[in-house]
Amino acid sequence: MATYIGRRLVLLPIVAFGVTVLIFALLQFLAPEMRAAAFITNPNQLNALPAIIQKYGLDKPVHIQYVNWLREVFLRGNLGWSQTARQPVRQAIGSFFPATLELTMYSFIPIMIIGVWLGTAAAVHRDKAIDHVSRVFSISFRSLPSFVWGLLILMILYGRLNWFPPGRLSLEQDLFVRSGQFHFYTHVMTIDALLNGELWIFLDAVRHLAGPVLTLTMIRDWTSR
Amino acid sequence: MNWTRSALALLVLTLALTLVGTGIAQGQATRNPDTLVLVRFGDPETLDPAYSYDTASSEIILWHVYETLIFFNGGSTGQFVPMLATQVPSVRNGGISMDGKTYTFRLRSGVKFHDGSTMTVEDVKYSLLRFMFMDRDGGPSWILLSPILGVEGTRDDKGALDAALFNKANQAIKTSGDTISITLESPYAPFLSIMAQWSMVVNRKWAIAQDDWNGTPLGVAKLNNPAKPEDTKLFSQGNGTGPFKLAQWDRQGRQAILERNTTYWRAPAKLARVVYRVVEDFGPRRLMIQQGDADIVSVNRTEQSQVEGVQGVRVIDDLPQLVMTGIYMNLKIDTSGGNPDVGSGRLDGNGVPADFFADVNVRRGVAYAFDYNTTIRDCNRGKAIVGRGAIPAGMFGYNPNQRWFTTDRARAEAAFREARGGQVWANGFKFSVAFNSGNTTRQCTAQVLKSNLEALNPKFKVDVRGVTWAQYLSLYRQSKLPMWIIGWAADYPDADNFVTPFQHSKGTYGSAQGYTNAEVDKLIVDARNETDAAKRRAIYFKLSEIAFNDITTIYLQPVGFQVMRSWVRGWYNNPAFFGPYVYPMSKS
Repeated sequence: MATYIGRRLVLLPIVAFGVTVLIFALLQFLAPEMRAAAFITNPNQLNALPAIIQKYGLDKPVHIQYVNWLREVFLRGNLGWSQTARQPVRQAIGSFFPATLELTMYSFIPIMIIGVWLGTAAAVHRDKAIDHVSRVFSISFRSLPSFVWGLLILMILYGRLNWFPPGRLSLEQDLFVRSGQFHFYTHVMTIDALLNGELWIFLDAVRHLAGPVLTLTMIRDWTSR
Repeated sequence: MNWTRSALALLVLTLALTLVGTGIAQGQATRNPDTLVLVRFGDPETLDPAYSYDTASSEIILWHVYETLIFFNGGSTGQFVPMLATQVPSVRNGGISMDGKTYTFRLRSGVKFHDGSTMTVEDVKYSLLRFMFMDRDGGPSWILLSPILGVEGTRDDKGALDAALFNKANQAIKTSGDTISITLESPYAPFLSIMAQWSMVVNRKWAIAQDDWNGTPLGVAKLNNPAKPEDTKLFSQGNGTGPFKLAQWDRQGRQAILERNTTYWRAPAKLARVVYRVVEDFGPRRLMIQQGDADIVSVNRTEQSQVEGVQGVRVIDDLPQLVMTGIYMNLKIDTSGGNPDVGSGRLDGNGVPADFFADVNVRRGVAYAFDYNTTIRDCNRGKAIVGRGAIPAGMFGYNPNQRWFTTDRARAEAAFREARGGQVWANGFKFSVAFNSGNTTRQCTAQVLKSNLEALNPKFKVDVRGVTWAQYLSLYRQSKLPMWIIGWAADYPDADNFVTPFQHSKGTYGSAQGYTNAEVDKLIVDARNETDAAKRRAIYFKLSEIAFNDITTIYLQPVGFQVMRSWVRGWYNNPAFFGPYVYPMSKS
């Protein structure tokens, strides 16, 4: 076991190196203008295409671009700028992680309880009703992409019933946690709410978590049957 | 097993009841009456007024956090009212020099920044210079550089900063007492429109304290062309004179929050707070306006029917906007390297040669063949008008009586028969019309054009091709596309900002189309420098006439609409706005 882990650890940098080279090589199939698309986002900026290509060295030989990238990553710890998160990639990963963790935490419990229960029930009552029903659901849930379930749940539980709204908090609660009267210990909203002793924030956060948790539970449970 | 099941059921039930208890819809009572919530589909790129060149950014900061020297009068794009200046300069009041080159603004006294300090002319000068010399690639700085210094950028072809420019700019902008005067390179008629939109005033002392540009020539190198938006200190914080303060831009939560400025120089805003949120999918955005959690949402024309008839939601349609969609014909196609959009690259019925559209008869044939009414009805839900040249309807310089193309099959056929001595008609052709994929309106437009052309002659073949934005950039730069459809939104509300990109040989589209007409280039510059309105209008009329005679681009002007809760009050439209002007707005 130890040798296995050791071997994997030794191989890891080589694999990582190979992957970066491969990705870099693949990106070279895109013209410099195409790689400039992250910076030129509307027609009014079209005149700046040559300047952008020059600024980021997008038309330089591939090995020079690769060395530039390596230098940024290893010497400056710069993983790049995320155009979607509007912040450096490293910072983006850090800021989105607590929400991901929270969602995983809450969906883990129902997925385990219901999933294990369903799996056991189906195995014990093989070819009985419960087995068939869970199989049918398993296949149908798996065949639909998660965002479809997400939208359905939003339509019914938010659009129709207004139980589980999207986002992390409602407006009033959101403004409260930003007002300075609320301390962020972990950035996991439900935990911070309890640590601050603000039960109403906790309940609101749970209300906003319910939709995504339900979506994940439905998909994971049936598909992990 | 039974016990677990009932325990589970009980748990779920309790949870559900708790949640329902807190979440019952509050009927039609106004939600969050002192907060306006706008839900958009794209994040702002930055909140720095010198870096921002996208609608999502400008919508938040412009006239809310930062204000300009002058402002648009109501819904007009050509008439102005004072804002941070006490009057709108004119030749009559001495604000514009007789030679049309020097503009003098007297600053309003007692205007305070959000940190309580008083605005001075030095702040205005600092802001204008900062805007010009940040000059990031693909940024808005050219808008001031061009009239004031007569250059489009601050760097040479190799990216080196032109050191002499700063001194020149420093000379061109002079302060004295409470006045600031700006001397232009040559008379530039659109200058007031530019000042109404791009003269945002930032707090100089505060910016320097934030380690932003220190205001000296030596600091310009550090200010110039930052590598990333976050490299500027005003990226996510602001300090202006506007009716709202920037409270927070939460990029993780994807929202920007503005709070009322209680020491505003006019009466404080009616709303206490403005929240700009980003929700990319239309589904949730629609649900949010339905539930009243959003007050104003972005909706595409194709999604419009889904927000109509929703209780408590108002759709305001037929709003003029300064946007023009073009169908561009390329007079100098790069047919090399097996370009798939030109087929064989020869006029043999299976392709088109590089100079196919260089023959004006071909272009006229296309313009007469195109079914304008069907396109507007089927692709734009009836909400577009045919442009009579590059200048949008309603703008100064637009000529409603300019002769223009209408669908006329006989004329289309005659023009194609005449093209290239009859070869086009005899041999036929094949090429592609490109549109940016995902834009269903433009896809539909391309398909209408395809069917119109193919109906003329069985030897005419047109492919409709969707290209991603990244592909488009590449094809555009190499001039590979024979024909394509894309839009243009005004940088500032003036005809110059339309004739230049569309008709000038060095303009964004003119250059990509290989269109050169020396007379056009001269007229565009003449119109810029002409300060007599009547003469200026006559030049624009002439340019539209040439647009008709030379027909290189077919113009369609889409009409806009807004979707908001009916409890929103005080909203009004100005085509020059990047988003709702929130200061006069309220909820009830």
